[in-house]
Amino acid sequence: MRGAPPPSLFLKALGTPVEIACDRDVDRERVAMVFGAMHAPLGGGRPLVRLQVTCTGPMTARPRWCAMRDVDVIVDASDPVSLLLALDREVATTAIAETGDAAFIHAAAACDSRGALLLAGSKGCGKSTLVARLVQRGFGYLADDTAPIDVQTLQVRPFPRPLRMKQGAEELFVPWGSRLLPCTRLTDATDARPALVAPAPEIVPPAPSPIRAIVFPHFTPGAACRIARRRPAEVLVDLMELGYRVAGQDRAPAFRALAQLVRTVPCFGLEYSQLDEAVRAATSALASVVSNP
Amino acid sequence: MNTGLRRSTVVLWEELEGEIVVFDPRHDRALRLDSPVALLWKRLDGTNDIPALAAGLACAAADVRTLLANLDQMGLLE
Repeated sequence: MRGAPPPSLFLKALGTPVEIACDRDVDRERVAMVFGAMHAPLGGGRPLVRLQVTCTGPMTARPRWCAMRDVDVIVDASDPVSLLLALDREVATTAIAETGDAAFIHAAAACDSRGALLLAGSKGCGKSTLVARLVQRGFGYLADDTAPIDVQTLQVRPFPRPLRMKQGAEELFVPWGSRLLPCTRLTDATDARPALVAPAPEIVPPAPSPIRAIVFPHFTPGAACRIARRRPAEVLVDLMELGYRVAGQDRAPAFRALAQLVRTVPCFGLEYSQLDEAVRAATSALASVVSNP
Repeated sequence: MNTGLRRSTVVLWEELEGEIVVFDPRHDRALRLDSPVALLWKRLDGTNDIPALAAGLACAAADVRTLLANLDQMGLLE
């Protein structure tokens, strides 16, 4: 006989209330771990989105995990990794669509008392690995993959989605410590899916952070670490290219805001193969900017 | 008549350290214009004809026509 389902989880994804309901405790715990940094009490309002997670055949050799948004199936998977990746995507898509006053860039961001480092680049450039190391070294975690830049203040808002790390990269972070929590373990070396790593809630700053430097990391096996200033016009084109497109959304305010950003914030290209050298180069760039504004 | 050569009013643009970045919202595309196209772009305010543009850029009228044709092909002119 089955007991009552566990209570729903409530998240705030950039202010958008999301409810995730699971029919089993074990799935709720997984989801709670991945989205721990976005937990928020619902308060008096209603969630804008409700996601329902169901596991069928949990005692059989072939269990399946299904997540639905209203009547739409967003994933029907044979393992919980695909479920968690799909939930993360859905939460992010919802937040992006509901947040009209921010430019969303494919970037990671970390901050300290001096301000934020924005690590911009397309998939596979190494931004998640770099932001994870910065966080492990004491930086606050703002974002990975999707950085929301306020078009009025040019600050980056905290959007603590789980980090998406390339398989194999996790080995660089052992021992993990308490700031980052690996959530998924992939056992097949040919599995191309990223591993999810959750930020501990206490390492996420409560407020947006002013961007002090923009770095475009580029992981190149065997390359010597090299950081060099980039021209703002070139960077503006790249940032527009790396911007998220939402159907029907005018990107003119994003263009104006990003132009202002690259006019006032120094931008760097960073080629590297050794992670800790890259962290030193990126933090030195931040230090030089702060000491020579 | 060659007067009235003008940038598209639909296109947004910004000057950054001497270079121009244009954003065409119709195609959701950003492009960087470096010199001499950036210099030409700034003069396309409807007050210059081709000889005036060529004189301003210190280049031949034929070169200006080529640059204008490229900009026109990208839909960046009125």
